[in-house]
Amino acid sequence: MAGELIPELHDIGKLINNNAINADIPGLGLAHHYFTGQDQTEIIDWSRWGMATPQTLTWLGIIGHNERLIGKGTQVSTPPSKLTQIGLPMGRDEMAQLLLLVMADHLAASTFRVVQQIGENEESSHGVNRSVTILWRSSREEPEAPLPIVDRRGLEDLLRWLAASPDAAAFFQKFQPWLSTVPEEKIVPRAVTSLATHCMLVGKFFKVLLDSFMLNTKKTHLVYCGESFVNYRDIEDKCLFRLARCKVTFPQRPSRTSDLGIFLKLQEIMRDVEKDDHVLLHTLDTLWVFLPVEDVLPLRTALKNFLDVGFHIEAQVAEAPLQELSSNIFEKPKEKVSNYYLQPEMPREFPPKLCELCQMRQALPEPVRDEKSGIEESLCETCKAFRELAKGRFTKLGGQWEEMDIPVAWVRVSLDYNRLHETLRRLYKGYLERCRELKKIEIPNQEIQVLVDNLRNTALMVDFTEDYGKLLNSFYARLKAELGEANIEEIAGERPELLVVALIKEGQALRIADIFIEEFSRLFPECEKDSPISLSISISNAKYPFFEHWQYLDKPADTISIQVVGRARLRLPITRFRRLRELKPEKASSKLHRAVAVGARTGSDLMEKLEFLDGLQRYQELHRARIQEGFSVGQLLSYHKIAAIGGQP
Amino acid sequence: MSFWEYDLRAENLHIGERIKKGTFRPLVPAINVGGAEYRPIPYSTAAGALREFLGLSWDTPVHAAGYLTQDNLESLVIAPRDNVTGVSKLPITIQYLSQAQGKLFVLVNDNTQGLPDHLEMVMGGLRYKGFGLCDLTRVGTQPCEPEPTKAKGKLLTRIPEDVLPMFGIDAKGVERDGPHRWGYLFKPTSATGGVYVKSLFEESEVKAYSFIIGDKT
Repeated sequence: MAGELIPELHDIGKLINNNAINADIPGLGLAHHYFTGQDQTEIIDWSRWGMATPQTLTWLGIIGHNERLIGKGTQVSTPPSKLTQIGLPMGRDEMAQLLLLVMADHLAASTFRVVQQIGENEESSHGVNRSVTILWRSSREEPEAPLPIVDRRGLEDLLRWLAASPDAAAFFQKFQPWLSTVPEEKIVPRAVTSLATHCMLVGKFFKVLLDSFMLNTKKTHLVYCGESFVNYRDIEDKCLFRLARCKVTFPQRPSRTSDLGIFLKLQEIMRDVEKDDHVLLHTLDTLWVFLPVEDVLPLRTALKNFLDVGFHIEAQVAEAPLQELSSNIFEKPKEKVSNYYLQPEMPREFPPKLCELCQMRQALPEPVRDEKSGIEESLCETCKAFRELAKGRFTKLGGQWEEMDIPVAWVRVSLDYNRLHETLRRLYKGYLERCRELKKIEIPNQEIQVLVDNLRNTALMVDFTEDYGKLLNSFYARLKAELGEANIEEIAGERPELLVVALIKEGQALRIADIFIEEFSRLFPECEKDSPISLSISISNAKYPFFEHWQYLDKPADTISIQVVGRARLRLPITRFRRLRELKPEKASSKLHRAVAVGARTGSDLMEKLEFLDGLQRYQELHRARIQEGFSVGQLLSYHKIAAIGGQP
Repeated sequence: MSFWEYDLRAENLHIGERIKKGTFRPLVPAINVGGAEYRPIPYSTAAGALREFLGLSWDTPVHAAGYLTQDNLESLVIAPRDNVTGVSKLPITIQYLSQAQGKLFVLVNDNTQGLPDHLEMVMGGLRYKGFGLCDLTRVGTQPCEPEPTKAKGKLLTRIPEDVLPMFGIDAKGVERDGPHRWGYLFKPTSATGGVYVKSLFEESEVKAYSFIIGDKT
């Protein structure tokens, strides 16, 4: 059979408008995305309708991943007759791949997405959404997603295109506009995952499974870790796989601008691992990987690219049978989850000197000399290599900004997956309640809570991460447009999760936060009150050691956290920050300083308030911000200190 | 096996890391364990200081480690002079701790069994600036005997691999990948030299004597 099985294409039938096609081809009776009639077992004989059937393994996957044809007990050695009868050559190798595709589809559809089926006739009791509901934007009514294949001609073109064995990239390129709006499952409780994400996940799972299983010599069993299995029921019940959520860290305490090459390397590896089928999602410093057990693929091997260049990895690894493995396994009893802290191989001892930057390796015999300052440092090969990588980069930060001694803002956007889990539960609950109000589902409160508790959210996390990527790009584009590209330094290469902005005018630090909030609210309006995404800004002169900033940036205190090193700290949720900006509290630094000082000296909130209220009639907005809106004197003082930063001293 | 438990107080203390950029010397970082903040007093720092206090040679077995529970992070700028030329080098910003308080645990052996219930010793860096004078007060009159059942939790200090058993940590238990953080500590191999040895660092999840771990389960 021609071509390899391209798993991403398995649900291409969901892009067909069956009603429109049936109206254009009377008597066809196309009813399912498996290209079958109403009963789901009769595969349509396209030759009867003057169309040629693709003779490819991918086509077999499209029509064959049909649960009415391939059941949990179907064996490698007994392909269903409905499939063999249609004239596609189908050996055991092909059958094995088909079983793996069905399992990958199950993993992506049942195990890694929202909730299991409720009852037999869900469609009649729950109704359907023909457009994917994005939970973090769900207050907006999405119009019904159009489908690209609506007539005979479109169908003929599709079959011809499939006959040419297109690859996954061609599929995503051709159908992207529809894939991101069509839900993977249109029944209301589950219509929250896009077909694009589902197809991508199936592709990744299939390839991991294909690498992990092999056929025995007689081609009757699939073998995993030395054990043989004949059907996928046994595999899903008994075969252990792992889901690992990993945070990449580094031992260096970068001080020089050139040490920021660490982030260039990190971004480079993250970009490369994106193509790795084990990696389900990632940000600049976090990744989730799906893996077979240690015996088949050790964790160290899977994360080798990071460890080889000296990164450390904190990993939580859940190990469970395929059918139990889901992102919420991390929230379940801890027995199934192990913690690891992976580091590169380390010798038991070595003679001095120790690398000054990472303190993890022996320094090179020759110290590294900084031409500008003449300072010599003992560095290991790895840290030296990071510096080499940064040569010719960060020229503004390490050059003119240092010389001009203007304040710079380190800007970090980050996504916290622990918080995202809770956020998705809250959003999903809200979605179900809204659907109930709109009479799209009939479901009691108790059952809503059951659905929320059983929410399986990996696919949602993938979708969320994709939108997070869009936020980063739009935020960065706006910053460049408003503050000028010349005033921004990219630290993490193509990923604008870490930037430095030269604050050439007063008020720019707060403007950065404004821009972030505007873009955030466009993409994540439902997360304003409780956001797993945060913006941290740390301000100092350009020479201040980066690591001191990083300690603040890497552990955001709130959705919006801003500090001027040694002078001011402000942390607020988005709604409160926006309110403070709207109020435009008048600047009254000496009054605020006095009130803070009295509060600190007396330890009394009342005394602080009295001092604050004295002569306040001149500052109406400041008064409102403190008394009516509840902003503390400390917050108001920090706000003004941050607003006043900018320009040359 | 038993340990002397000491309460430690120091006006100014510097337990630092390697100098960065030739101009900045940070402290050993603090960690948050179970909602409380700790800063390790590494084995190499504690044992070295005690050996010096007792007037023992570099190879005399003394085993001690601890952690700080309270301190104020401060910094100062100094411009050390080159010993040969007498010319001042670039100014260095140094972090240090003021009003530090913590715990130090000393394994009782032939060399340490006579330790007084109250002692003053110098520990850490910047001694020539008057830093590091530690006031140690023994808790109790008898050494504490660690309970036979070890607790599991997060290590609060730094201990070289070869002396882990002294602190109740099974070396085999930390051989495989796990939530163990490794780094290097200095180990003297002569009166003037030494090597860096692989050591278990703070926040590693281990089974150990309960006094050196936090967030116990």
